[in-house]
Amino acid sequence: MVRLAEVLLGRTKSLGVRLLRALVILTLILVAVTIGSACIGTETINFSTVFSDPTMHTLLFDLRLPRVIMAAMVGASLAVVGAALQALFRNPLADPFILGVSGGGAVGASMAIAFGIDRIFGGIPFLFLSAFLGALFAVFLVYQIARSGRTILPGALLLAGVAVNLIASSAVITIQFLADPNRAHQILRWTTGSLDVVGFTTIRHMTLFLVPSWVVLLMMAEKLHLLAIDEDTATTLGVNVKRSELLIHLVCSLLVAVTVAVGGAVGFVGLIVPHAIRLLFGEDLRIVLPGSLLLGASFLVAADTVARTALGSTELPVGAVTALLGGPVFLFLLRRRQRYSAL
Amino acid sequence: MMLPILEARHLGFAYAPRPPILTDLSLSLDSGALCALIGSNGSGKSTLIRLLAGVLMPVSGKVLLHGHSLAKTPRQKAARSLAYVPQSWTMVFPFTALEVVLTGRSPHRSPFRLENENDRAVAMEALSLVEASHLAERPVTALSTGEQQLVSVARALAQQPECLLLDEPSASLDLRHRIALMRTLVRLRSTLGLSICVVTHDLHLIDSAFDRVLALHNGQLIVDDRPERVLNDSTLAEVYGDESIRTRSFEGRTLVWCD
Repeated sequence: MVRLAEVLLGRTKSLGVRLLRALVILTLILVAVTIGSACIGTETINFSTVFSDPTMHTLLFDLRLPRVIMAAMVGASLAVVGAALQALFRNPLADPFILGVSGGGAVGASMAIAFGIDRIFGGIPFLFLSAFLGALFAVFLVYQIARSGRTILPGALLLAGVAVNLIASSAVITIQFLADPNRAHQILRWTTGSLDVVGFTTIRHMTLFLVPSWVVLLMMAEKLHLLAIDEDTATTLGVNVKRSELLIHLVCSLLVAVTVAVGGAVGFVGLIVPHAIRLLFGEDLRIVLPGSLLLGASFLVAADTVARTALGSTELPVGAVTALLGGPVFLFLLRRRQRYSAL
Repeated sequence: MMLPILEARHLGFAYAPRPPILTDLSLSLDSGALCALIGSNGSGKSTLIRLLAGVLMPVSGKVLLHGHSLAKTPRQKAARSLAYVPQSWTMVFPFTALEVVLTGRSPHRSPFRLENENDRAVAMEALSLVEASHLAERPVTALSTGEQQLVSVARALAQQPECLLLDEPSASLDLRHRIALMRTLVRLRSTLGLSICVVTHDLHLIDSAFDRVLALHNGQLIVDDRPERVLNDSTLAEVYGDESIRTRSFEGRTLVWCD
């Protein structure tokens, strides 16, 4: 017990203890937020009647819970991708939304919706595949533009992201106009990012792609830690930079694609969450990555609860909530960073 | 006879389509030797040291570590014998100096293991070797360029390599730390038997403790000899392309100035 208290509260320098402490605190937060969010809504759930009252049962298990789980998975994925891309590009402003990765995924996804959403190839929903290709294209494009010899130009990276985003949103609008009205409406519904209309089938599909991708990124933590410090020294410390970059691009594209396909482009989660983790627990990527995963889940569950409830019976898209919160944070970070070095 | 720890055979390098930076360059670094690599700006020193470190891959020829191709040696294995200190680095995230130095322990750990007490002790020792222990808990983004340089050298030392390659490590150091660093390199060579190759413009800090001075000119190795045979008027005039360079030997050191 004393030992546990020491781990939770004491000042320690050992990485293992710091990691454990971060995981315990963040898991407790996630559990609390999840239970809170499942209870809160237009109809407050009373846990004592859940199993006796069939309406309550349906409300909790068929409506509320899938949505909370989905929000958690999307939030976790976006946050861990943000943390990984920030380290890989050595740019604290990197975020899948800002860099246009979500935009690329959205183009792919809207094409899939326009052409018929429910096709499945070899067990993989065409929607995921199409979004993945879009996201992958975007990340390679932005990376190629920003890469200049040994460095990834931070300003070029963000500008390329802005341009890709603009092109992507125009492409989505064009696809909307070309698609038949029913499907166009469907595209419109998710472009801003909303997490309504989900069931456990979608969650099963997501799990299949998201969980292995999380595992791969967490396994890359040490390499990302070295890359976040310096690319050349990472090479001499045993990191195959090209191979790591490729793998991280692929995995991040897949994660973003699946989240975009199910929830639309939810922005700024990947920006805010890793920054919060760094402030709380330090810079070490072996803490930042798993920490972002957990806090990202809590953050989006909380944001989605706000989206569901803030306007009474009308729902806000969750993407609007995260952007309203995250946009100012981005601007603040940009301002602070400019003081250190010119973009 | 000493075996070479690091060898370059017929190295060629170019950033296509630009003209080649190095053409057919061969050299060998003896085990336990302390070498200086000199040359004018743009002569290919950094490219050469980056090729030797395995950061760049040669277009032609190869680098051998302990007689085996560096390109074919598993990177982690190579990292346990070969450490590299880059000329400069841009620190983006406020890692503490100790965290940066600890990354030098990475090649010695099995995957998915966190650093242990021994790693921390080695890292602290490395920081104290470069007289930078007081920086351990400071964020590297808040350090001066010279202090960052010391942290970078400490990181390489924490690797406990057999061979250390440094690219202008003293460029942004003040005189005291410049001298301290050179003294540290000389000491590491004699106490740990480290092989060291250091790119430098500080000709006056190359003393008799150095075994060899290599001079590059236009991507060619034009001199490879004892310091006293390189640091003279005519050789330096050729290396730097300036006839007005004058030298004088003084208590085992070479004073360099310009007419």
